[in-house]
Amino acid sequence: MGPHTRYLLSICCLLGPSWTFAIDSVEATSIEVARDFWSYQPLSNIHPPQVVNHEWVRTPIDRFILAHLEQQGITCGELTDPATLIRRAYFDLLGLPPPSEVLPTFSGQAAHHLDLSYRHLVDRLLASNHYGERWARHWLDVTRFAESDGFEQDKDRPGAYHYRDFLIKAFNENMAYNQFVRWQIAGDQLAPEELMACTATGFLVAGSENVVQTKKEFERDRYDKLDDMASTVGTAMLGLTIGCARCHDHKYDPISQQDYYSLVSTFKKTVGKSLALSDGENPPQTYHAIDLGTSELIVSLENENFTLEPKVYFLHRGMADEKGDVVSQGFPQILMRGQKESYWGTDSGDIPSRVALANWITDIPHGAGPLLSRVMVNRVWHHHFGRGLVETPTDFGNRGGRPSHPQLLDWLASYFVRSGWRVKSLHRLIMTSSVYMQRYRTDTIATQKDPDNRLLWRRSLRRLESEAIRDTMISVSGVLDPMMYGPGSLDESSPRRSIYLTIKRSKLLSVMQLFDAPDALQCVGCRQTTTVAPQALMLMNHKRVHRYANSLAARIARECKHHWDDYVGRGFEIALSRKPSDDEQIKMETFINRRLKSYLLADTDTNARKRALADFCHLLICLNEFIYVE
Amino acid sequence: MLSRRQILHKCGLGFGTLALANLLKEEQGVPAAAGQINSNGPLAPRGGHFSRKVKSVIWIVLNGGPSQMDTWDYKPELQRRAGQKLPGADLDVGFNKTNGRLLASPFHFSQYGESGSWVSNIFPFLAKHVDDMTFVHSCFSDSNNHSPALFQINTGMNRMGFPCVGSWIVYGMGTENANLPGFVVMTDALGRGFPKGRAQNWGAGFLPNVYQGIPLNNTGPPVDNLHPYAGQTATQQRTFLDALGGMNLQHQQRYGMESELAARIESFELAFRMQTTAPGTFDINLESTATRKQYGLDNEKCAHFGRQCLIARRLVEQGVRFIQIYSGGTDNEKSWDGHLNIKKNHTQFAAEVDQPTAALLADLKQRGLLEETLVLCCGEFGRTSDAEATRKGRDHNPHAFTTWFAGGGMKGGLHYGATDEFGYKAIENRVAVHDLHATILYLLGIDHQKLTYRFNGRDFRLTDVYGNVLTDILA
Repeated sequence: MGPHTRYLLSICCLLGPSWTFAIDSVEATSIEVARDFWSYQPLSNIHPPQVVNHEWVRTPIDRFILAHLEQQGITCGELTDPATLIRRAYFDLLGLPPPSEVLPTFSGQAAHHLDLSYRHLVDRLLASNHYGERWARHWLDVTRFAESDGFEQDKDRPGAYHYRDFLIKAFNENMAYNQFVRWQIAGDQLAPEELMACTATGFLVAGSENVVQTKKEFERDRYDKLDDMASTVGTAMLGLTIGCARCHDHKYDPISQQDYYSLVSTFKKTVGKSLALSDGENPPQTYHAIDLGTSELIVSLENENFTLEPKVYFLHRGMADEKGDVVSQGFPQILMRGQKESYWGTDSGDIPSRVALANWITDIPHGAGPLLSRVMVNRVWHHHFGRGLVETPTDFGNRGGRPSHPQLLDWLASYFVRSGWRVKSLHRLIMTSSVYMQRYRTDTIATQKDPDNRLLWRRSLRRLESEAIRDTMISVSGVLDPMMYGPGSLDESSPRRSIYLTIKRSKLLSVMQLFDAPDALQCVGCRQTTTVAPQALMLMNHKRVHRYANSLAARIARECKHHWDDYVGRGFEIALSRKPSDDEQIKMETFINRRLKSYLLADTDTNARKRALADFCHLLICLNEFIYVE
Repeated sequence: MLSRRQILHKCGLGFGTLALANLLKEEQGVPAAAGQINSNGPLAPRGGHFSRKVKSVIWIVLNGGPSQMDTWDYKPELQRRAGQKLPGADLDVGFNKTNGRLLASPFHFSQYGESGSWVSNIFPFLAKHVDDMTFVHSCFSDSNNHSPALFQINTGMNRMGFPCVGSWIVYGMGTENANLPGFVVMTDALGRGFPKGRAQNWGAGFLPNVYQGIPLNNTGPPVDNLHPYAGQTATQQRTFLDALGGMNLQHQQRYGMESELAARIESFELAFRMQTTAPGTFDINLESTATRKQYGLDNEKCAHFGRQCLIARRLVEQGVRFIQIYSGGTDNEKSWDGHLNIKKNHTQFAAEVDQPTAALLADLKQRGLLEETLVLCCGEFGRTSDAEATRKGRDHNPHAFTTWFAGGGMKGGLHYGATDEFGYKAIENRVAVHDLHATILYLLGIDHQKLTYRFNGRDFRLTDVYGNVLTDILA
């Protein structure tokens, strides 16, 4: 294959009318051969490997990790200190710093007791309502969730927050992940009486929508919307970049254009709709997916009505004006084993097409279940370690990463299914493993053999996400409003957690954007982490940051009364979950005293003290340690 | 352990780091070319794929869809046959319905310059610069609807969620001045609102947010958080940052000198410097009276746009990579969207941009900056040759619009491509939006086929699978 051909192959178009190049050198690989690819295989029965250093092993996970390390001759890492571990666990599960009261309960305990206390702590955190708020946000990233239409008018979707609330509840209730998926695809049909099940389908219709349409556009636009639904199901749930097959057979993965339109056909009657929850004036609204009756697929434009057929056509080159045959519902061939579409109810008059999709996608023996489980397990791992076992959480295909520990991934995926698809079981298992509990370290040999730490011989440092940064500022300042659920707000100064900030596509909030929050238009499985001066400018100069610092200062002053000497220590405990070293204590006292002196020149004693203390608190907020968690 | 000096050196112009391995495979021997985010950070300047003179772009967007046959695409036949049926009329080509009858331009056209270019009388100032301008008359778009068409002109796609030209360019080449944003946007300063689709028109899509366009505030400080909080003095801030830096350095030593931590330390230093250097760049009072007058700051019709053009020139001098200025606001008649009355609408908006834009060209040229600056001007689509129900206005027309370029190694005075005799459709040397984008990238030294970014399993390009560089219009 010459460079030119290779170049053409590196392009994958799905957008708009396209693909005019002739691709000559890709022969459709036969499905049977393609099935050998690691991610399409059924879950295998794996036993954790034998290892030498038994003492390090806390859970079966550790055996997999250790086996690789021992093979490479890399020594395994020590456990981290309790304070660091507690902070890590809080941020991982709640996205909030530990309350300072928690820390002393761990100090001075014997190793055995520590282990037990830590297990209890993990259980307590998993039972916290804040847990759902943290993990729902991770899921919102992959669902391109926003509460407005986007495009020209960007109309609000006042009831869209019910979907966010569904996620928080589902995570807190430890809903089985297969049900979680089924409801998001077809909850309105599976359990029409349950509000939670209906609002779960907000997943399908969270994408952008142009309500200002011209006659020339509405058909193309309809296929764009169908694509948005099918593509998001693919990338979010299956790590399958199925959208790449809109205009032509997938160039890298065994997904044909026929597969694409068969899957798209699932949604031929599906639209997003705001529905009133009760009668009367201004009733509360929901926003979720429903299937319209055949007669309802009507688009009104300038006094003219157009009826959209409740059918999906095969579109040559993805162009809405190049229609081929009508395509009936189906699923990617590569993810069907030993059964045909009808097995899941596709051509049944009784089973709605979205229910059929839900049946197939969660089916372990014959359908996409194994991949569904692998992808979710990897997402959970990604959020605990900053990187998945597969580094591309939304792409488990040929162009995606390969698992660093394939056997571990499969073992975990099986464990997940065996546990009844319980996400909390995964957290518990992962977090009580030595590999999770180890500390950051440097090691010349390990660095040489595995500079990228793919084998997890040490803990990495991670920057908090925008929501966690803001929540932490509010939390340490002592003003966090723990109110859950309900309509959000566009007011950045709201004291509620960031998940309750409204996501309006034309008014993305600057504090979120500055620290790399997604733009709510496409599925994001892996956020960027950028470090730029505007972030520092915001932290240095924004009045709200100073307000948080002032509140923290007031809190410290309150708690320490007049014990000026305790201020530094208390500030460290609240903001950094640890005590200052002697050196840090001296440095910070010097800093406060200098500030105090300069303020005393122009201000009263009380005010000068307040200001000096606020400057110290401001400094704590700006520290790297404040937003980087080991 | 690295010393503080070494760290600063390591970061260099480093605006920061980017924890992603999204590197483009480059020709061998080119260490850090377009799109390769190197250790110097996501905004550090990088060379292009090949050497070109252009360093900066100023893009004037005539938001709402200016009419080609009332501006730069003179159609005598349209004048002659006014009121007659437009052959092949598609009454649904626009947003509303048109009447299928030719609407003559209400403006007078004359020839200017050595090139003898025809110019409408709404552009008396720009008419003097036609020999420095290159006109592409055969542009077309895929959408007849504002926001999708605006998204297309900015991102190549008529859907939401894709990176803008400016984002791609700064991703590709970084920016020359670490103290200023690399991609700056100026929107209507008269309170008429953002272009339709708003911030999506300068969004970074799936590229890291650091490549987003920064819209300047029209009131108060131009860039957020640029002024020290509550009158903190520079000395106070300095002692604060020294204490902060000391603590951060100690923390960093515990973590094997992770470069991300060093970059964040440096980001505070850079922020500190930005506070002193950046505000001056936006201060047009530092310009001479003559210059201010040249840009029309004494003319209330165009003073707002003149200020923006003047700021654009100052930003170019400071090494800002990509600047976009929007003429007009949100609502139809508050932009170039002349549905009701093309004469009234275009007379007003042309008067807003004509003198300032002409001054910008003259000023850049006089300062020797025009060679390394690409100026271009267009809307998101053109307008119909037939009239709307009002019989005075024109509807959206995706089939033809004119884009002009100036500076940056273009053939001045050239007219490329053509529409039919009524200006209704581009028929000769048709130019897609992807071609415009490919050409802009080329002028900066970027091969549009090589600038890619992998997202959710795909290598995306600004030009998708399309794009031809318009080599015929290059000098």
